Amino acid sequence: MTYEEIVKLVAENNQSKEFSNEFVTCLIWKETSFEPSEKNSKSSATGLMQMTKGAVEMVNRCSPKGVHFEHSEMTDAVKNVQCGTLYLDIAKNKLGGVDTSYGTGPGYSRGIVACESCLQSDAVHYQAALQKIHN
Amino acid sequence: MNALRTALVVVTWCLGATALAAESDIDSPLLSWVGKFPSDTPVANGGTLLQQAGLRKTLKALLPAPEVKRLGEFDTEAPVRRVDDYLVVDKCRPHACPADTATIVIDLRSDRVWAGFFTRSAAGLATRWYGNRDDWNALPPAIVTDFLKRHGSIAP
Repeated sequence: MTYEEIVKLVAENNQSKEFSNEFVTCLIWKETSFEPSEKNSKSSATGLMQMTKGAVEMVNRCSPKGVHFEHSEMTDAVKNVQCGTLYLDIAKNKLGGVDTSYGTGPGYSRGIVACESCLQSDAVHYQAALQKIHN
Repeated sequence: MNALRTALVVVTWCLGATALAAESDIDSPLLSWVGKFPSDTPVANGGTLLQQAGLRKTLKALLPAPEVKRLGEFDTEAPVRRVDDYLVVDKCRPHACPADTATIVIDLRSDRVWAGFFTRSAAGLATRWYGNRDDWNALPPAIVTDFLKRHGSIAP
């Protein structure tokens, strides 16, 4: 998907009360380079926000009645962002933070925050913001 | 008038048949992976795409050992695409996709193979292309453009 498509998708589907649309956009870029059909060959991580079966189950357990996702839906970009952004809040508030429960450990979100900050100050030159994501 | 119409129909049919033949005359077992993931095994006990004997041998001869190791760590993958007569395989490092990524390109009409790597770290960035017969600029421009988009060197 293009950057513009991702921005629109996130603006319409970000369910997080904690994380900005820019943060989510940068996280999606870091996880999958905006490719909604990406999967991990050694885990169940699937789709734009690389949602695992465990993360989807956690969202279903912690969400109000009527909110339910299937892991098989996670290649659907809309469902993935809705479920993934709900999971971000759970990760932050109940699982010890995004770095450890979503990412690779301390420092995982550093580049995402740098990218977010850059996008918020200058969305026109978004390419420079996306390049804040590095190893 | 009828003869002219008949001739036109025949010519149109022939052109269509020729186009279809050009599209379908590639008979590579690797085509089984189009639309599937590189780690899928579309043929029972047949291995993954990168485990196919010819391709594995070519990549092993082509790539320096650190790149082979790196490729083995790229567990995040997109479905295999066909672009013209080429198969395109995109893989990247989990949780760092645009910063550590590779594209393998296989020419379905010959034994030509390319592997492009891109790495971005705090210290800098590097692009490396390897080809067993030709340099990267022999590739269709669309494939090179997609490679650049996947790591943000041109706008995604």
